[in-house]
Amino acid sequence: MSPQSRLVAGVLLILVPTVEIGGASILTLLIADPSYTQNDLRQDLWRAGHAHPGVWLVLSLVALRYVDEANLSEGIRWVVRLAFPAAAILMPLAFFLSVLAPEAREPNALINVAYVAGLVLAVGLLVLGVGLIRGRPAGARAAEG
Amino acid sequence: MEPTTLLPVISLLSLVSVEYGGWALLGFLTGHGQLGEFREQFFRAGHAHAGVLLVLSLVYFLYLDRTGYSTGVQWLAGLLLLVGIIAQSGGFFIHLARGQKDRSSVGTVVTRTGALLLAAALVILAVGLL
Repeated sequence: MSPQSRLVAGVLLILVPTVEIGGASILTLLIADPSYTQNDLRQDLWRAGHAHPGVWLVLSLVALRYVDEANLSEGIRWVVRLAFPAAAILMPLAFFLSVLAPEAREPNALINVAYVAGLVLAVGLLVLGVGLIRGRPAGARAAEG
Repeated sequence: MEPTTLLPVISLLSLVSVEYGGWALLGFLTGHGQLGEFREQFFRAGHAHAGVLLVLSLVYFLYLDRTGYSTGVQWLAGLLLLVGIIAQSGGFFIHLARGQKDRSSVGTVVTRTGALLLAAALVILAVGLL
């Protein structure tokens, strides 16, 4: 693993507990706040706001294992290293902040950030995919040992 | 091409299609057309399982590369996993289209079959790592 990818991996691991805090908050709301369970939309979006960063941070960590052996320039590798975590951070912002008010019946304009996050993730996925199709860079195998 | 080179690319591209499903689901949840509770539940299950299991597949291929298996066995294990994932999560979508609430359907059978296939793939990997 390259030092650059190790650095990003370290930051990602430090971010994971924030997802845990969000999960603990939602659990408290589910158990103790009747108004939360009565608002289906808010429950749907906040559940999604917890699940997506959880899964996407794991996906980001896995992507870091692949990006170093992708045939991409160092600049494009940084696009991949940052696109996955950026999407993982933007997605919950959209889901949580778009229905912040307990009585919200429809999401506000911040829900559009979710579409941006999806687009950012898609860019990361496609660029990494292209890099892997192009094969391993010369000498990568030797450097792994 | 090596299985552990090509199969991760298939998973990455499949994740884009999972995103497309999520985009549609968000549309349903925020009121552009209604699915109803039953269909919404199974749409969510299909979306979530496909997403998480494809991330699992990316981890799987990293470990598959470390086994002593021949290329042939690696192809078999990797494709078994991917077919299992498609069936397991795809079954939920078949169920929401063809099934009824509180009843099993061809969709739930496909889901259970897919789960068995991906379990088999996981056991093959575990044995190869021992």
